[in-house]
Amino acid sequence: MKNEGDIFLKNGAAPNPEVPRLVEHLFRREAGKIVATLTRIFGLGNLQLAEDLVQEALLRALQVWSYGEIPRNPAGWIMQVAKNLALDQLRREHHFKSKERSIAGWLEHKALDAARFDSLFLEREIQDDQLRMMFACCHPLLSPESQVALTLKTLCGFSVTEISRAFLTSEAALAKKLVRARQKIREADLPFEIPAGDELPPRLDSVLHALYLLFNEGYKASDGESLVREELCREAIRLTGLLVAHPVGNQPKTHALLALMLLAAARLSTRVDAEGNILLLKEQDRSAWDSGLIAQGLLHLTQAAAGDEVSEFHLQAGIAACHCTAADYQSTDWNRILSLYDQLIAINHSPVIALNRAVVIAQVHGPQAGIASVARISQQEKIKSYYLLYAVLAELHAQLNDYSAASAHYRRALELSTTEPERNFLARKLQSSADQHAV
Amino acid sequence: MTNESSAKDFILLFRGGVSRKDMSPEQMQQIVKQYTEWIDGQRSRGQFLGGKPLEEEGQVVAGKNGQMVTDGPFMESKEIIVGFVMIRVADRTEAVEIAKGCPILNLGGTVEIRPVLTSLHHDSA
Repeated sequence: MKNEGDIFLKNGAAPNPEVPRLVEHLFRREAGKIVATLTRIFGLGNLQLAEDLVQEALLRALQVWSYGEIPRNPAGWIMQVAKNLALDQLRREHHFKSKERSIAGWLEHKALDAARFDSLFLEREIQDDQLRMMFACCHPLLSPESQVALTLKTLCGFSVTEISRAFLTSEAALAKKLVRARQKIREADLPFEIPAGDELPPRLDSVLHALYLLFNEGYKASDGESLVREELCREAIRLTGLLVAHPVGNQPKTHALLALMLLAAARLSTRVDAEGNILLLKEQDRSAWDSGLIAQGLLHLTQAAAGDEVSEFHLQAGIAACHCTAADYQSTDWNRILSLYDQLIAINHSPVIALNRAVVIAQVHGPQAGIASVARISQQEKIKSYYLLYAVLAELHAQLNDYSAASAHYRRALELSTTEPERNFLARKLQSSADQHAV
Repeated sequence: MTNESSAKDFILLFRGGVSRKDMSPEQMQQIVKQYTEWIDGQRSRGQFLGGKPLEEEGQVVAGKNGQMVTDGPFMESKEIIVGFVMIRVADRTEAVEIAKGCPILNLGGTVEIRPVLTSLHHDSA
């Protein structure tokens, strides 16, 4: 930088140079990449160390860039600083003959010359590192909730506060969960690698499941902060995209999951009105659905059709595709949706899926058949505190003009709902049902 | 816009601000963005002369002929100067207005405004 040091000598004010702009979420994204690469160097047992070094590098960027000088290649800058911090750390560990087995071991095998060190940071390797990290975070030895939390922390660069806000849990509880997850990984002495051979399919399933949960966490219309929630959906799509772009993850099931996410995300913004009120599918403005995402989703759905396996993701993506391609609510292919639900329920006996299926049955065979289908839901006791069970029953009774029963069910749903938008929605419905009843 | 004859230089000294722990990457990026916008504003008005962050630790040289060289300065972190910006504006009022927009104020830090002493300029504001 040729102007360095002479800022006081300038006669006039500094010219207005082209200051590079930071792409959105650059810090978060780079954090995820670099944590993964540093973990390759320091070993999975030192995950916390890698996270700390990245935090340090980002703080350095914050301090230096706040004075009007953002480098031309901000991502490269952060990576370089993290690299230097890592190298310092390795030299220090070397010097003090650290007891950390993994670092000492690494040092024995690799000379600490800069060229060797640089080769650890090749773009291709960095991509593989993120996949290695995905498989590590979503290792079956961790509970699904821990998998999602750890993925968000290490690969997506979210802070404990941000994750806890999205999950509506306390920071302390989430922090504890992460500490335990890292500890489990350390104790299991897991290798930092992409699984191969027979090990791959179950491990890939585990990753896909975690990504699915991550997406759902963002998608479900719950309170929380809507911006954070949208970010969760976007991150799930980004990570699934990384997976699908890699030979190991490029499988029909991964495409199906990605299709499902894209087709759902396309409708994300239309689910509430300007005041934040919940809008039903039939009330949504279909012209506002994101046609780009729908096109991408349909493309991945086509790619998902390779092979014989029909996974749960295939079926759910198929259902989403029916909605996305229908011109309006009435012309939706409900028969096809019902047949997809029939297949889905054969794989997954979840009472929530059964409830959704009952709604479709009502659409095809009428409200009476829908109510009968709800009554037949196995394990119904599992959803007896779920407000949607009563909201669905209320809606079906209202369609039969039985407003007395409808009102009773809406009242029950209202008692069980937990978020403001849900309560507003149900109160609105209850009011109109009660009005009809009075007539 | 300021003209050379009436312009006056000020140094803005920043103390405290960013705390290390528990800031998320996203928050850090937001802060960089706020600073960038703040400085862009000064640039577009031709007021920005330059600025730099400072490392928190250094050496203090004291005593006759610098007999005493110690690490430091040791003080509370909110007292440590973390950086500075130099601006050229019409008067003190304008400098204060610029300082009021500094993102550090929302991060628990402070801005100290010090006019550069010159024999030619008088700040009557």
